[in-house]
Amino acid sequence: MATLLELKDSRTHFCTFDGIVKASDGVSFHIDEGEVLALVGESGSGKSVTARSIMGLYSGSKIRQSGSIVFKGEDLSKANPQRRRELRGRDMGMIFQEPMSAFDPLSSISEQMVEARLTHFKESREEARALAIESLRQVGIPEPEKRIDDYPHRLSGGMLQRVLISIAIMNKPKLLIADEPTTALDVTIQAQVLRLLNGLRKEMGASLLFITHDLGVVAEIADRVHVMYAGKIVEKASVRALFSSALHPYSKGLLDARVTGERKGKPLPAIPGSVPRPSEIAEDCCRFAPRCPHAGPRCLREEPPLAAAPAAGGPRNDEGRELACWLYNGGTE
Amino acid sequence: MKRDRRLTSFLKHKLGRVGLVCLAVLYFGAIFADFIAPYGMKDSNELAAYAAPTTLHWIHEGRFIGPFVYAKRQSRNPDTFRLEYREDESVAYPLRFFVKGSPYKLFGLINVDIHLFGLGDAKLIIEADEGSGEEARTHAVPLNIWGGDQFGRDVFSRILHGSRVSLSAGLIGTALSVVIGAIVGAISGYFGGVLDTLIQRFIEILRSFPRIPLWLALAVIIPPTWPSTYLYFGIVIVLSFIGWMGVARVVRGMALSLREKEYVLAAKSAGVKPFKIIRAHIIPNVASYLIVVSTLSVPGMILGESTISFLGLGIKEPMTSWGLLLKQAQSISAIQSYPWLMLPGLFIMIAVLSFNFVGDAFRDALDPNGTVEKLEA
Repeated sequence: MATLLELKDSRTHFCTFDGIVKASDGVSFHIDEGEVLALVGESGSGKSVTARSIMGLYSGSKIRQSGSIVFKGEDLSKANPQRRRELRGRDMGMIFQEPMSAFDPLSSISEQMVEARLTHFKESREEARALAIESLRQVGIPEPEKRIDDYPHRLSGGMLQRVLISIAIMNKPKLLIADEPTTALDVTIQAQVLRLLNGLRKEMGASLLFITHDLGVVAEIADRVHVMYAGKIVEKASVRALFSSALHPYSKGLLDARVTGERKGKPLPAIPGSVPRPSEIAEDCCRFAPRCPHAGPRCLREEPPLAAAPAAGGPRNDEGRELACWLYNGGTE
Repeated sequence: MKRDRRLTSFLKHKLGRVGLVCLAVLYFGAIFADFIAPYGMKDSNELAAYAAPTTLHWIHEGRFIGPFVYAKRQSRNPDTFRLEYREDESVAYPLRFFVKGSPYKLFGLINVDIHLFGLGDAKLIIEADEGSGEEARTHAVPLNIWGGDQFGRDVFSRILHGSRVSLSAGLIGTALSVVIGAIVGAISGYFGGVLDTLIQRFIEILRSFPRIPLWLALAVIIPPTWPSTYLYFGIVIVLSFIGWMGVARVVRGMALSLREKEYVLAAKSAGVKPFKIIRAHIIPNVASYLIVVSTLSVPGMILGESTISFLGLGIKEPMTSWGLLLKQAQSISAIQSYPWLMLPGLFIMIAVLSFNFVGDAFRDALDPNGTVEKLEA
């Protein structure tokens, strides 16, 4: 399959009063056409920043970006803001975490949908509106002709998330980026919204970059998973491989911290400590080392590169699996 | 039907209600000034120079017959040489309504010469000085319910005509400065970066000039040869040139926080153009602030116009404004002898207070946290 999007050593650093925050620090991955890639990690690991820098939402003198973002063969990091704006919403659509706050409370749904359409297509308001209604019908909004003139506060969170999805798919983008689309939703709605999103995506043949910290959701929707920690990818694997044998201690920790039926009655295991504050990330060492149960002296001395996981002798492997951990790359001593 | 919470809250504000009524009366007066005022803006009558307010009587020979005046006799006191007036109580000349007077154009369109009230044929008899050998002359009695000024113009009429300038300058000046302030502030806050820094430093520099000298400096730029209407707009522009900065600073702050909102990010990620985002998502979300700050800053503009005109750099005669009218009341002797010349000042006070009350009521209704500060004009 052809590669739709490829990030090479993409970095997004913010200059703040506390120093330079390396929110996304050398991220490389690719998404094939029609593929679902999940980006997982705790809050603050740089998932959203990575997604937003793909969309090109960052600009300004306080933000430093480097590396390349190649979308359909075009290097976006070299494209001008004009070109990036053309792509946003037309070729790549984004779904936000908080449906309630992703709508301007002062404009009606129709105004916001028509705006999203007319920004990229020269057509009449009526045509755009008809398309918006059709799009709302696709995501299962009952009576879209009436709902479309409502203001956002009159719809529930689940409904709004559907509307948000319908806006994202309205222009038939090649790439969808969903930034924790189900986090703010009721558990009962989550599954519905996920299925809806995946169904529509398949229909359009679009790729999906799915950002979440909920591993249960990943298993349901993704083809491949990348685990991020403190601005870096620490493990790349297929969904099956990750769930059957996570290798990186951080991935293991995440998987262990899931709520499952087996451990009923026992305390939920957790990864000790918390994600370091972005300005306090230590350089030249494994960023996870302070919280890692297997950390050795080398982990504090040298930063492990993201390398292909050992095929022979090691645990179950599959193609394209990569790890950034000394445990699998010559030992921690 | 359930009433809007904000409307209820607004109506609960007692002073706000009073202010609203006062403003309604003032603006009504300004709109129909030509009709209500017995004299036109330029009408002067040498007989009414510094005339004391005309006494209106109500009871004639023990009978109530409504407002009327008596004929007057003017004579010069042979000892002090001051003019003295005596009322001739034999005939009552009632105040007439809808009388013919100097012609004007209603709303600038229709030629009319009807005024709300006036005097019919009351006579003023000017007695000749003793020994001069002249005949006594008779004139129509000038009606100056609030007295006359230096040139014999009716103060009441002048206040009404002046209210047009003063009250509209406040509104137009505020509208201009709020529009400019909102646009500049939103651009500064939304784009941030170098542009923001430049705009903010520019505002700081402008704001650090003392205000009155800056006004005067700007007012001097307006060519004095301009016709009075141009001059009027010139003054309004000078006022809003300074007024917009306060709005711009606050709107900038609000835009800074709004641009981080997910819906702005969502609009951005839909590829919406920056100026469209500002127009469609930033400005509407600061609208309630703008409404409140507008009402609160009208008084500043009215005072500003009055100040400039008072200092002689604003509206020029024969056009008039409250500030310009007050100019005649500059000296102690004028105030002492003709205290009615200070009446325009009272109107400035009423207008300013009313706008402040209404603004406070608006703020309480729209901005319960009381975060909006008055705009310095």
